[in-house]
This record gives sequence, C-alpha cells and structure tokens, in this order.
Amino acid sequence: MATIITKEQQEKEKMVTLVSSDSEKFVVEQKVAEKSHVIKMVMNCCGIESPIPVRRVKGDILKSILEYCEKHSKGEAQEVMEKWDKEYMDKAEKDLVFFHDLMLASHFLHIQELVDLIAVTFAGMLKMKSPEEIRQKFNINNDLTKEQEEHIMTTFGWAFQPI
Amino acid sequence: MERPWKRQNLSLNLDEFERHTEKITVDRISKLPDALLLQILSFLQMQDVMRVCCVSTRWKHLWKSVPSIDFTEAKIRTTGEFIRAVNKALSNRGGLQIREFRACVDSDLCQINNVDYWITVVVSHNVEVLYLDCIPNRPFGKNKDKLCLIPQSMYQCQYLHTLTLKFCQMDLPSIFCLATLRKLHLELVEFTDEDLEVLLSNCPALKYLTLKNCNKDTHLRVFAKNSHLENLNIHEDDWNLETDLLVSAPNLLTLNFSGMPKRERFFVENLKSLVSVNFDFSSTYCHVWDPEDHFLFGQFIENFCHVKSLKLSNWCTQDLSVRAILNNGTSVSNTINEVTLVTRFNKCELAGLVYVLKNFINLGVLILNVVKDVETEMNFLSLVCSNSSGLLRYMAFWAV
Repeated sequence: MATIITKEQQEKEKMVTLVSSDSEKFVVEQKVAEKSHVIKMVMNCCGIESPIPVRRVKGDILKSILEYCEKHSKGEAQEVMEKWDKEYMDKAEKDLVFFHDLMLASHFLHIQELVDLIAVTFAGMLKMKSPEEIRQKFNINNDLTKEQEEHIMTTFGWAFQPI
Repeated sequence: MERPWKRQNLSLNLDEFERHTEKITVDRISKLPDALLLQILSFLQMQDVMRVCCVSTRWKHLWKSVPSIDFTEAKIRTTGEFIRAVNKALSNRGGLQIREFRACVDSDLCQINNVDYWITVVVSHNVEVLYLDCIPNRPFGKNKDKLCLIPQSMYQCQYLHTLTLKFCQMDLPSIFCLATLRKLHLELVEFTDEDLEVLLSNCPALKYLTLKNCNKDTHLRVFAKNSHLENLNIHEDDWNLETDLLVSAPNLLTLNFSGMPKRERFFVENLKSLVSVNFDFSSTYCHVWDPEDHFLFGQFIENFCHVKSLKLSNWCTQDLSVRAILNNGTSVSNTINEVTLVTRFNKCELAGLVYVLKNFINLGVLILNVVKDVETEMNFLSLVCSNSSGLLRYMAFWAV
C-alpha cells in the first residue's frame, strides 16, 4: 500500500497545474510546461506544488498553446512535426483573431518556436498581395493621406509593379 | 451553488460571440506590438514588406526596422533602380541590427562598388546571415573576369553565422578570423588548394560546408586538418574532366556526394571520424553503362569500410555489381551497419544487392528505395531470403 502511494506521489510531482485568466485549470507534465521560458522560470523559483496562474492568457488560448507544447515535447521525427504544425496552423486562416491572441500569448509566455511558426503563417498570408487586398483580409483601416500614399508609391515604385 | 457556474458559462459564450463579430469589423493584427509585427515582416521578401508598409500609418515606418532584408526575388527592371532600392533599404537604420541580408546581383553589369558598399554596411550592422548570388543570367564562362570580388570588410564580421556566396571571387586577407561562422555554402567559386585550407582553418566554428560546382577546371582539394568540419556536401554537374577530387578532414562525420562523378580521380584520406557517407550520383546522366568507369569508382568506395551508414544511388548499386563480378566473392572487411540503396531491380543491380547481403557482415538495417520495375519484387524477396544471414529489418519504399 505504502509503495503505491509514493509512486502516485512521484507521478504527481512531475505534473503541474496552470490556471488561465478565466480560472480554467490545466494539469500538464512539467516538461510540457517547460516549453514556456516564463513558466519554466516560475517553476524554478516557486516550485510546482501550487497552481501557477497565467493571468494574461484565456482558457481556450492556453489550451491551444499546451496542445502545441505537448506535441513538441515528445521529440518525434521532423517530418511528423512539420505535418502536425501545418495542420495546427491551418486553423489560422479561419479564425484570425484567435491566432492574434495566440501569438500575443506565446510571445508573453516566451515560446519562441510557436511565435516563429505563427509569424511564418502570417507572412504567408501577406505574401504577393496588394495593399488593398491586405487591408481587406485583416480589416485594416487606411488612415494614410493621399499625399503620404503617393509618396510611398513613388519612393518604392518597384515594389508596386503588377505581380 | 449552480449560479456561478452558469454565469461563467455565459461569459464564455459571450466571449466567443464577441470574437465572431470582431472577426468582421475589428483590425487586430495592427494591435500586435512592433516586435511581433517585425517578426512577421522578417519572413517576407522586401517587395512584400514595402506593400505591407503601405496599408496604414501603423505600418508605415516598420520597413526601416525589419531585421531581415531579402532582395532575392525582387523583380526590378533596371540596374539603377535595383541599386537605389537596396541603398534605400540599408539607409536610415541607425543602430538597429540587420540580422539577414540576401540579394541576387546581376554581375554582368559590374555593380562591384555597390556590392562592396552593401557588404560593408551590413557587416557594420552585425549581420548574421549573408546570401549573395552573383550568377549572371547568360551562360557561364563567357565573362570570367567579371566575378564579383568579395570586399575585405566581410572577413572582419564578428557575428556571421551562415554565409552563401555564388559566383564570387574570394580574395582572402592575410589575417582574418570568422569566429562564429557555422554554415558555408559556396557555388561556382574558384580557389586554390591553399586558399580553401586557409579559409577552413580560420573558421573555427564551421560545421557545415557545401561546395557546388566549385573549381570546375582545376583540382578540388578539401584539406580540413585544423578545422572542426562535420558535414561536407560536394555537388558537381557534368562539366570537368581531367582533374582530381580530394577530401581530407579528420573531424568529418557526414560526407555527401551528388551530381555527376566526372572527375578523373577521387581520393580520400584521414576520414577517421566519418560515420555516414552518401553517394547520390544522379543516374539521369549515366545512360551508358561503362564498366571501366564503374571499376574506378568501386576502388574509391573501398575507402569507406569503417563507416556506419552508407547510401548509394542506383548508379552506385550498379558499381557494386561490377565489383561483385570482378572480385568473385572476396569480401573486404567493413563495419557498415546501415545501407540505403536506390534500385530499379534491373539485372545490372541485382549482383550488387547480393554483394551487400553477403559481404556486409555487420549489416543491421537495409533500406531500399525502389524506383521502377515493381514486378520484380517477388524475385527480390526470394533473393533476400536465400542470401541474407544477419538482416534484422527489411524496409522497402515503393516509389511511384
């Protein structure tokens, strides 16, 4: 009986609880949480016994981030990971707002790999598009004056030639 | 007790609702901090960066701080316009780092002074990744004296991590050290044996070296005695004739050959750390099966008996066949544990397969990359069953 308890304790010791801004709790392995540089530092100085609040990140975002961290802590073959990353990012096209939040959160938690992955995905969306197409896609309000716009167009005319 | 739970649930739904409405009306990307926007822009070519920076005042000034400047796919009609565009992108940087600089320069028009200036500027901004492609649009060889000369300032760069030079001339200074350089890719670069040796010994952190179509008219000798070079790729296309290829690198772990084995002689020496060797000679050039050619190469392969992993393209598998027939079963002792063969299972290759199974006594893994002639599968399987002794795993990739 006693041995069973210590075993359970040992297993529990490796787990850490993260609490999102809307009080959702996530229990994950320590090595998964360590993917975030910030959480790793918190764990190093405060231990993993008590739940760690992640106040700036909402539950659904944190869930998505932890999904990424879990997959990337397994050390699978590179091709498998690339395929998984692509599927993970396929959602970005559909819900841009979610992925802006995801990028902010992964930047805040200091998960550089994920920030890079999201940045590459966004860059892909901006590629080979005219300014007007970009404004439409991201709902950007054009607050440049006519003169400013013309100034840019003439200074960097080469970049605005038909694609 | 139930109410708080309900409220929480409601707020969550409201959140989702907001998000859906926001998707249509609110611009969120512009609210990201500069650091993240610059990170997104650093994955774009310069013309895309310019177009993005034209969308609103929030984005207008960002191009001045983009850490990576990439002109490799810029479609600019005139040389003058190209020079102005690059100069503009490199000016007004202040103290901001230029982490990456990539450009394709048309060396036909001899913009050497401009290239000098650009490299000096990016080096003074602590560039880490430098890519310079000077391959002219017209066929090579007509204008050899117009190779782009790399300025001396590049050799003073203290942060350079990855360097790619195509169709350039390297005039090494007497004293220099590229202390942080890890990856070097040289294409259509000509140098003397001493130059290459000096270059390698002055790059103490260099791990990856790629030489593509270098020294096409002269011997290519890679002496890396004083360096920690671990990975060497040599790719050569079908020119060149009566010259030698020599590799000598005591710390080398991986050696890859690709393209065409058209050099007269191949030598290797002092490869005591080598673990994996890959002969990816393309068969598309080798329509004629010339046994004499193969026999020379067969002797060369004998130098790699001490490695763990060997990869052979089907041209090389044919070579093993020639060996098998000429040697008539006498084996060379080897430590090769993993063999990858590209095969079409045609009659020129089967003897080579048998040779591998019979003579590679330490063989643990055999990976077959089957290109064609799938109907001979059954023949092959019976071949494996009757000839293999210690084979643990058999894998076959049936390519279309």
